Amino acid sequence: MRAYPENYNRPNRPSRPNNGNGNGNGNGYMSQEEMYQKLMELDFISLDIGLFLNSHPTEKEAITAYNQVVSAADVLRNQYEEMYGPLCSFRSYATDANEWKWEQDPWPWQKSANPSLSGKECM
Amino acid sequence: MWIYEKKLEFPVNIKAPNARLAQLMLEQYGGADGELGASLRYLSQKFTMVTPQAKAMLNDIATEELAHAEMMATIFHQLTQGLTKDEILDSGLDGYYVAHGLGAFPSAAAGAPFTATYFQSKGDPITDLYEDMAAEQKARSTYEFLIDLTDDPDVLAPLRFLREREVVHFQRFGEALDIARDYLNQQKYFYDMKCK
Repeated sequence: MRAYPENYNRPNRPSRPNNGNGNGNGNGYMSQEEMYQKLMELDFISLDIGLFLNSHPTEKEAITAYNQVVSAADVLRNQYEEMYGPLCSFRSYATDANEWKWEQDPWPWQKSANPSLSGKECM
Repeated sequence: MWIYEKKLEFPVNIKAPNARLAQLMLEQYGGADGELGASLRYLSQKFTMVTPQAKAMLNDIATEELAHAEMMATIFHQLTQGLTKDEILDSGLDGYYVAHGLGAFPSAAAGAPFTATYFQSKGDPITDLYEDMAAEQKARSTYEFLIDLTDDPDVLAPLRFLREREVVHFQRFGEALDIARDYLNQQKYFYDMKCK
């Protein structure tokens, strides 16, 4: 867990794609939309493995995979929240000490919050 | 207790409004086999479920279904943004519009408002898990019918995702049923909640 001093201010720096999933080379940058979509993907994987583990609680391989995905998502979520504001109600830090950003648009049901999948369809 | 996460489970970004499609999508929001009913069904049944595995399954799938209800309402909402008066009148959404405007009201595509009579909470783990497996299949069928009537790729992508989740949930409930049945068969007495 990060500890924020009282005068904590949101760092104003671009994100790095080194999000723990092994794809980042540390040189390129991910846009906000790319980070958000990657986070959706990682969280979905851990959710789905979690359901599997409910009925297969001693599958070691799945537990290892689950922890890897949760860890990668944790790194990416922290980066995202530092740059763009909190994602989780009463679990995320208010990363900007001067402004409460939780309430800010867009909310998830708004088009602008969601990455477009046009041209990325699986055939 | 739940933590709200400020993102959908799967992205919904629909560019073209479509009143007719919007009305159809209501079926999986507040219809008989819709996501709201699914979530409330599992949330209610978990209290009398047996075995840790089956309890966890009901709890976690109920939670995911709540996110699916949010996705379906989001699809409805985005499909209704930018509609003209003529589009609402010609599409058949006019009856809905005079009752709810463009608000997302949990109801079936044909207009019946959401009701708890769409599901059971029977207090019998075997009965409940069989209902849950049937519910997942009914929802899968509904998604397939919706996909049949949908051309917009922006709508098809989340529908396909949600259809696939029904298949996975059916599988997981089947495993939970096996575990719960094995547990109950180990018991020396006939399972009857009134006797406890």
